[in-house]
Amino acid sequence: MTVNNRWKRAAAAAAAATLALVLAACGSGGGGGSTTANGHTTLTWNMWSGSTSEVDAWNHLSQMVTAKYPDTSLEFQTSSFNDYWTKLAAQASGGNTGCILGVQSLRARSIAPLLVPLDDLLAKAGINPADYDQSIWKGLQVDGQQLAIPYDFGPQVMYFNVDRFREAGVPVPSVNWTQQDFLSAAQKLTAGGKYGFALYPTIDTVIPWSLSLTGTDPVTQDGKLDLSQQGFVDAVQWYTDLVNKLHVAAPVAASSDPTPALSSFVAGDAAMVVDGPWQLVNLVKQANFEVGVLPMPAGPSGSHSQVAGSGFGISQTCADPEKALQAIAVLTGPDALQYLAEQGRAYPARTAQQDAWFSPQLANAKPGLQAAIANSAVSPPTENYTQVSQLFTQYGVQAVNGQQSVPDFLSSVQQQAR
Amino acid sequence: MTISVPAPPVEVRRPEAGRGARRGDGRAALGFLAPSTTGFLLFTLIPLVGSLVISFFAWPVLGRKRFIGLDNFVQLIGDPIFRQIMLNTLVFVVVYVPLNIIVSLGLALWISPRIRGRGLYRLLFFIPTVTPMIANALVWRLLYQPGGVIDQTVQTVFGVPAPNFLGDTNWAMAAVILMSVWQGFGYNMLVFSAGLDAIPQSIQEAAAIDGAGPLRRFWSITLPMLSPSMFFAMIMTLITSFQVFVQPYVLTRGGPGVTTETMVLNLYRQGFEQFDLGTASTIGWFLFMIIMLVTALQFLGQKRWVHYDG
Repeated sequence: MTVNNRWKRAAAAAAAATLALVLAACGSGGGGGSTTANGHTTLTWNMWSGSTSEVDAWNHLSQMVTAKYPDTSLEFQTSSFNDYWTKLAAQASGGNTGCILGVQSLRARSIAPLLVPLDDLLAKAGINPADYDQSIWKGLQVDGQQLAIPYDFGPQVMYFNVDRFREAGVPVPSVNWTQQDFLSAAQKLTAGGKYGFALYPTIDTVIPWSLSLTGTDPVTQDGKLDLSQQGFVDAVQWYTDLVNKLHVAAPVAASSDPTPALSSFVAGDAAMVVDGPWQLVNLVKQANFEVGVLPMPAGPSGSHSQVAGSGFGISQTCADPEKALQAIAVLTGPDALQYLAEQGRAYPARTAQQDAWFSPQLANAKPGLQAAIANSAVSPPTENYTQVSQLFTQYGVQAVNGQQSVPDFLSSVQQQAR
Repeated sequence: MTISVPAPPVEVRRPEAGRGARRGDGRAALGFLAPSTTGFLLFTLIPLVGSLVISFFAWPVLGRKRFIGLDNFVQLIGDPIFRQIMLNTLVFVVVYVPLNIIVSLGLALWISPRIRGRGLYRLLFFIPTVTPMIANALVWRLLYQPGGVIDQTVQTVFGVPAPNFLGDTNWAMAAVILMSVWQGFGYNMLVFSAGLDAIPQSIQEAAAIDGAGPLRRFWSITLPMLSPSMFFAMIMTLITSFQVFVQPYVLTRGGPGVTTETMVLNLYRQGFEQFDLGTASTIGWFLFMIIMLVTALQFLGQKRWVHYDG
């Protein structure tokens, strides 16, 4: 064998080794989202977030975990709420999700196959269901199994621009306001290129109207979606009439902005908007006017909203579920929820910490939010909620703008959602 | 190896050395080819075959995968919504490609003579192409929205509100195409501009002396000599416009309804919003076949109008 040949062999071996390394690198980062080195465990934590201050709050919580369990640390990975579900699906298809996963109650069923049932592990981790608000505790169950431990919850509420009400001489409504009060306020506040109300066809913000107007929840008790129920059709018709017939809300455009209605409320273009209490802290920071909070205006069926909330679960691929649950017990523990509440980040799922949320700057939201919580309903989780809410928004634009009839809109969403 | 079959007499004289050298060359060639071949296998061929395999399965992200043969293809062809989406894509291509070629050729012709500040114009026209499309689309969304710049201008000038471009089913696709043309003409303009510069001035002058007017010179000299550039630009623009994704994704998410939903956007939604990888792969293969067919037709047709000789 010549020197030349030997050199070639060596080069070939080196090339093969490099290739193997590259392939190994492609395959790494998996391992069920946890790694252990020198007795120290790092767990990957997947969670959505909407702003850098939210990320800071979550990182603070992850430090609380390491403070309590020095041998455990969390690696926080985040994306926006809408992208989170897409990313989770992509990671799941590669068998490569994090160890601790953020779970939203309405979407719990659609990711249920990814999650470990926690019922048998709770006692050992020192988690007592009685400490939590029961509506959201049950909201994170699928088929009777607890899939996640909640940290926050809340019904949809009506935000209103207190300054606009005062300027227009419209009396500021009380927590007992009705649908007539809402309509007359919206009509008085629609003037000079500004609107009384901002809407965008998201199913989350339409359901409270349906519950209050006709008492219909499009999600049936067995977790099926029935959008063509007469009560829901009537409610959506009433909702689209706000744009088409009464002209108290602006026409909508197809958009990739997840919350266009809230954006136009913050910009001062509309005086009222429906969204969740988790938006209040962002609103107070961004809006240069006083923000008021009310429950949904009472319709013939009363004032109701579905409760949605979020928590943390453990993925099936997690190599160390016990450590993960230990960490979740800290993330949803009294200290962590107290911190999130004081920051105004999340209305705590633990009843004992709820008062901490009403810090001085959010204090005037208290009567409105408490009234909304008192009348809230729990929507059972549905399997295809993510798909339905996307289709609802996509086709809803035409219905709201009057280019498609409401029954046609709802039946085409219903058909495609199968 | 086929090379050794028609062995010329020169090589017969030293068969040993010749064959040996060639064998060694073969191995060396293999070594040199290995990196690119590995890359091609890993990142092109295997995923391609993988997606073909997936397209024959009901392949949810979560849950059981099941072999269903051609069902995905049959279902897609029978689905009126998918037919609408294919039609949307076709409308986009048919309107966008000629518009793009006309605008970019027009601008290239305009800046082709030695006018002052030519480099500056080139730079200006190229800026939309090099800025991130996401940022462009966001700005265009602000322009288009009710109460946005376009709406306000129309209100001031005509006294009536502008259409709700991104909320109206009749306008949404036009709005997406307009934004795409603005975003995309710069690249082809550079290609045409370079092609125009390569046409010898002497031919134009000779034609002028022979009495050919500007229009005749454009039609009989500039266009034929520019035809290779135009062929390249048409092929590339057609392929990328069949694959349009970012503009509708950021402007409208395919809405209202499916008015602006294109095949690649639908592929993305099927795969990552409906979590149905089988259907997503099938759409990918539909698109692949359409693009292959159209490109093949273009190559067949090029003999009629593309002139490679000077």
